[in-house]
Amino acid sequence: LLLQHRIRRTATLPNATAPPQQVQLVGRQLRRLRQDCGLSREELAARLGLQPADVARLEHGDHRLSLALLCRLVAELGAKAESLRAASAPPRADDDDGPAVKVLRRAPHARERR
Amino acid sequence: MSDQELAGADFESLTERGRLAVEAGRLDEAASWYDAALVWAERQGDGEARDRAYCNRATLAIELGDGEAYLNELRRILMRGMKAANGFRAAYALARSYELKKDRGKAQFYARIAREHAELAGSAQWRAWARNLNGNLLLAGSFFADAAREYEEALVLEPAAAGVWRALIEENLGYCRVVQGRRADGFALLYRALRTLRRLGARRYEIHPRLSLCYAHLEAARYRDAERNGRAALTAAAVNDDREGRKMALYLLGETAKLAGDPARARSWFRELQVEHYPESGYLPDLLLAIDVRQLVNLKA
Repeated sequence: LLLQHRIRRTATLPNATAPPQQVQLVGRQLRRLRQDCGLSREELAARLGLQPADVARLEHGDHRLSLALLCRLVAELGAKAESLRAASAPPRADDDDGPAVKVLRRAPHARERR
Repeated sequence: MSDQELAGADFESLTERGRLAVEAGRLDEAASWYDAALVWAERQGDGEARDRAYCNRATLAIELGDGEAYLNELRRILMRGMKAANGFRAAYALARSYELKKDRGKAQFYARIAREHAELAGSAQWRAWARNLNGNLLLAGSFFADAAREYEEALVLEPAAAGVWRALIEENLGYCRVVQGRRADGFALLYRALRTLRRLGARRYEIHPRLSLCYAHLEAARYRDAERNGRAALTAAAVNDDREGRKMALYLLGETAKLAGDPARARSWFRELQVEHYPESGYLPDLLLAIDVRQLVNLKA
């Protein structure tokens, strides 16, 4: 029954209000950062305690997070991006990144409380 | 309540006093009435009344963040399944517990059972509560259109006389409408909810429409109104020792100041938010100043 419920909810997605352009832009930046970090949607979802479909919706601009989860997302992607950048030589220039990606890349190695 | 007073009381009046205290937001007082009802039922050896009182007391404890010790007995009451009424109460309390713990899967499981019991009992009000509960779970998952439909159904079922609960459902629907871009509808619902709560003296619950109104005014670029509601939410959070509400108020006040062109004040709010709630995320003020995350944040998640 729970599975049926999940399917029913998913089936309603195409009817959802189209997200504004700005939301889609942030969503695209998140997707790009996740891909840069070498994380699949499933991996990121598992780290955040979400369903992969939730990550897909987030990247499409029609899912929102609690503040706590947003912080965890930043911590996960920020820390991963930092470790990737540290491992690369020379360091990757990020001048072409949007503001979200830039700030996320500066995010520290801090781990959120579980 | 003394033994003598308890002996002179009856179960229904104790329960009703508890219910009225809950509606008025006097939760500590409500707990004492429900405790008294529980003692009364146990002394009378009335199993059905005992389970009912236990569910009422457990629901309250869950709302107050102290419900963990009640969960096993709630499951036992649910399993006994003597009456649809107590089955509904137990399932509702369990669903609410998991909702607050943000365990959507378990919350949905018990919410579905609550809805089935509500149907079985034939109670329009319980069906409304079950709809509202399911709406909350959908809202937490950012399924705004689906959540709005559940709230609309709940409002149809909920009698207008049930002021506080109706106001809380309207508040939920109002937030959905604002997120969906239907601001006029959202404002109407949110202000109606606020007026009802104020009229009924249910000050404890005012924080919800205040936070949503702050967000709604922010979306409408009316920063003074947003700040006024944000500060009112902050005050309400302090009065009720509502940590989660305070967190959202600090975030919204920061966004308001940022969008109103006062980055220094915005930083101050965001800094307060970070120090109090995310001490290990020192980057948070910079992040929130640099990026508009309004479209990424769900106030009800």
